Amino acid sequence: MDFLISASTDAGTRKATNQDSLFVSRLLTCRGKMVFAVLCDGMGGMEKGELASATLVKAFCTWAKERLQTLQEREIADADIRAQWEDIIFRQNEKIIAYGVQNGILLGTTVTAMLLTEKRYYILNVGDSRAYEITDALAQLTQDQTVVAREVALGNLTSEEAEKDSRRNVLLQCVGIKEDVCPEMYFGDTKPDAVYMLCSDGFRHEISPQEFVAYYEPACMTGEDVLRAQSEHLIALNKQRNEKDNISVITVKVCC
Amino acid sequence: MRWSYETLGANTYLVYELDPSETIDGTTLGMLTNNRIGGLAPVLFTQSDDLRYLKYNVTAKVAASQVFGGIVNRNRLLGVFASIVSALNTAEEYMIDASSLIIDLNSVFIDISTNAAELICLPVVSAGNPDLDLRAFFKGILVNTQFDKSENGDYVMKLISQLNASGHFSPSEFGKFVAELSNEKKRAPIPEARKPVPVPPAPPPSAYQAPPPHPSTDQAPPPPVQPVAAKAPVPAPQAKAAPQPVASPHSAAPGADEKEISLFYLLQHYNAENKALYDVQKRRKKEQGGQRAAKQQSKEPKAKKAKKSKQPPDGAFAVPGREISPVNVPGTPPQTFDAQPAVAPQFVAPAPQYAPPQSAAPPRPEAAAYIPPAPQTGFGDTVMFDNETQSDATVMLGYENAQKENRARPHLIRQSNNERIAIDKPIFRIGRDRSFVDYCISENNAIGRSHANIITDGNRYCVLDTNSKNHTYVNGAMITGSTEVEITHGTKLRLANEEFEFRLY
Repeated sequence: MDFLISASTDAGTRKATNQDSLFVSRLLTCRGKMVFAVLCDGMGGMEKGELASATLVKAFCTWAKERLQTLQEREIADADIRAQWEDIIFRQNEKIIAYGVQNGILLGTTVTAMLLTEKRYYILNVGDSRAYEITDALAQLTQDQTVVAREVALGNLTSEEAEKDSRRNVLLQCVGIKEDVCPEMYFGDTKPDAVYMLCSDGFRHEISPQEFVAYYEPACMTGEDVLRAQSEHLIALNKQRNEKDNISVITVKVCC
Repeated sequence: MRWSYETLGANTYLVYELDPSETIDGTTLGMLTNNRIGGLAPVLFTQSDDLRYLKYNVTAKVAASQVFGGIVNRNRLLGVFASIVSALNTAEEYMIDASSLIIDLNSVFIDISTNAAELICLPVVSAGNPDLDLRAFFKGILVNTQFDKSENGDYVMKLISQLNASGHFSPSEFGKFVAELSNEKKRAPIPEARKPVPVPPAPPPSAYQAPPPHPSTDQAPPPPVQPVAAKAPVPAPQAKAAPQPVASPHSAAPGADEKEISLFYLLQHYNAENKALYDVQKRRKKEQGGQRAAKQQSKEPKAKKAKKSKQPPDGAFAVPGREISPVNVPGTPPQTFDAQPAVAPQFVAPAPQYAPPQSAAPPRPEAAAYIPPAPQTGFGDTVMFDNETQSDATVMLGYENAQKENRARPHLIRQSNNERIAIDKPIFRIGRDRSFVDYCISENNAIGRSHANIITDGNRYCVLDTNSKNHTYVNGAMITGSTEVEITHGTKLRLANEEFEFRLY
């Protein structure tokens, strides 16, 4: 089994700065090959959203470098990942809040982090960035922590209504604003010959599920350059369709 | 300036590094190191290779800049001023040139429980301020300090006027003025306490048993000049008796036949009798200016035994071979104690000291401030955005308006009892002396009377140890006295053995 990876980001047409931060890396360990990816969508506008997202990405990178190796000594347990990643979230949350309080500004970030091994995937999510699994259909692996997502879950809104709702951009959870942050974890089995995608909300507003499947058709993703080209096409498409936010995506192809 | 602070063991020193070009004034240095001069900070001279240092022991003393940086009440101001003047006088007695004294807010150190000030004397030839402008120094304090609003502030204006009076500034004149001011309040209630009640020349031994509020009636008189003097069974108000002259019967009041004992005469003709006379006279002189000092002392609960200091009484030299003991004149008729009216009115009740601990205000109602409001149904409120964000930008529920409000709520969490202590002043004081500090830790004796301050500067915070004996630790590391160390959210502070965490929200 092998993994192909690619990451692309763009500030978009309207924003002066790109407040998304992303990281993806292949790892070779005693338990085999794996990929670690994390994507953070900063918010706070002029008030240093990029500082929040970069801080969190850096913390996860440090984790990957230092602690992932020791986890390999035995089978990676879901609980271990959960404990360690939640710890990162809580610590960084406190750090970012303290920074914001001390400097009188409001800054925060979403996060979607994924560890993909040959057997299993482990995903952490806070906010409205998403992880998808693409086979012959688009499967959304994470639930948004937004007001409208909750309304849909409660049955008060349909998904179509949710897309158009004026509150569609209001988050329930975020790292760096409130003291109590609740990250959610998702686990599953790695599908061979699938493409896994992490993206910020700016990447997916204007693209339909069918288009995602078409662009990232796993059978056609034969190399990293192909993955990258497809991502860049989609980014251009977003801009063409007047997406105003920062646009970011990470893709991982599982090759058997 | 080559000044720095150093903390070694229990002591904190203000250190001056001498420049190679500076010459030590040997006489003055000798005077300083050989005598414990009240009002001047004790100094050590050390040299290693070519580096020479003068180290002033300022343990448990707070720099004037810290004391006057907060709200000051009348007693403290008058006490400190009087003490500075007295230090100047003492320096003169020891033939120390006033120009070698450094008198500014960072080099005057104050014991906050007694308001006794200690000055730094720099025994360097042609160093120091050529024109030590005391007038400007005192005026600077009066003009720049915040005074206790609950008191009558007349005294400040009077002091300023006195300082503005033309003519050469005389410290002793000023000292007298300060003394008068502090006596003003007390003149009404207890006029007679100022003077010793004249005692008949040769009272019979039984006489001193008569007055009821009376120190113990054994032979040994109280130690000569101890402000908090007490013998074991002394009932609370008796400190008044201590400063009173331990008179030998012949000279309770200045009489024509009493010889004037000066310091030099005493040196040359040292015997117990002369010493007694000298003490009496000195006390009498002090009396006239020093009633206010006595009042300060009465605030301390007298029930505790006074710690007998090994230091010789002010003004006397330690004579080798002679024990510093209270004057015991064998053979003379038993000493009389001047009958005192009950000193209750002067005695400031210690009740405030036993009041419930000064804890933080009741739990803040805004603890719930950051719980966002329930999500709105419908389209909710109109929200304001800055130019950068547009209506599609991601926002956090409850924080849609990019509030620029100050979310900082700096506070300490005391680990032993989880108490939340809000830091609500730019210089927030912590210690054991209730009258001086903003948060009082009364039940832990390891904490100094003034232990540490938390200083807020804009959005930055730091901690300053006020030369405490048991030190302050930031994240486990001890910090030097009188040196600001920055702290941030989550910093662990330890004052002696009391742990705290500093938090911003």
